[in-house]
Amino acid sequence: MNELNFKVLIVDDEQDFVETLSTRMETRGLKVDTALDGITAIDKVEHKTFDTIILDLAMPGIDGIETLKRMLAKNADLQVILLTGHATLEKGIEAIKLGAFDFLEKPAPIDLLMDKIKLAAMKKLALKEQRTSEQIASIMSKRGW
Amino acid sequence: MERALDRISDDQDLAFFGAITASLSHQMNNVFTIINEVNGLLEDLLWASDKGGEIPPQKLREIADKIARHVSRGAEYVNRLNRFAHTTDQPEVSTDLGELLELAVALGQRFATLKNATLECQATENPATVSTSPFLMLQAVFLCLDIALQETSASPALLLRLNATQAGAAIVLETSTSIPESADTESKLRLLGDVMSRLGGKFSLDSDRSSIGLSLAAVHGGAE
Repeated sequence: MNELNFKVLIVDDEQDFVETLSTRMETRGLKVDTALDGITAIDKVEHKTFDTIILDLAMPGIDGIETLKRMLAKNADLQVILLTGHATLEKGIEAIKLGAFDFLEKPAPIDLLMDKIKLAAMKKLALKEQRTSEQIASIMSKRGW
Repeated sequence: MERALDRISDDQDLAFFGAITASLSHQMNNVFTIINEVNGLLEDLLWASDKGGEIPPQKLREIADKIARHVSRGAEYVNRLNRFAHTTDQPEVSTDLGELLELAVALGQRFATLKNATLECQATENPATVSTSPFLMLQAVFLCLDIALQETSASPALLLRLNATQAGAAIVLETSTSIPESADTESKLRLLGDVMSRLGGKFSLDSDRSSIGLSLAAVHGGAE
């Protein structure tokens, strides 16, 4: 798979963190968009396609868990990686049960983040191929082929 | 019975101490996360430089500024943690209530922000010093904050102010919304009553539920 095709959305209320991580990911070939809060992130997910979403757990307004729920309600195939602080591992586990792809503790090494992004994007591609196969099978069945 | 009540008080005190230190540690971790990422960017630039690329001086300046800004921010969080930790040094000490309120607002900002609320302190012109437990006073203020932040459908504007005379002092928390009536609120008001009782003071909730007052006696150095 060509990483240059991966589109990533970074969601965190810390602007300097978002800007710096975005720059580092772009130098590694990713196409990156950012959001500083959950509402903006949900809006972007509705209008654009992303291979992976990096989502902070603790944010003002709607938190990471609520943002995750609303995103997955709009698109169950979204691959979301949660970033959590030390004291919120319990919430990270809760997020996995809600459908997040994975969670990492902050600060997360960029190499580890990149590996998780690749795996998440591969899972998304696999799901897309599965949907396509199901659609083709359905069409063939209806036409009696 | 008395020992059981002491254990309940100890549990409440410990829970409060844990909540504040957890919040500050989270904020400090955010600072380290940003500095880590900025350091990573510097490493990326150095790697590119080793391959023959140039590092624009302006870029280095931006990186240096970011690190300095967040080190300063982190130092402030450590300062707050230190000041909070020292409120437990003595059970009763001469306490400047104005300074205590400023510390309460600094510690409470994150809690307010997470609930989309604003928290401010109205500066007091008259210094007010009272012999009390600064730890318990902070706990009482935070219980008021916790009660006021329960209303999350709106974005409350919270204001802490100090009224001080020679007869006594009152810390008042005002909210732009109304404190909800619920079992949870009643439970927290009972806790607040316990804490104020330990301080030799009392609390009051105004009739339209838009403010909570904490009253203490024996102000030293206050002006009428």
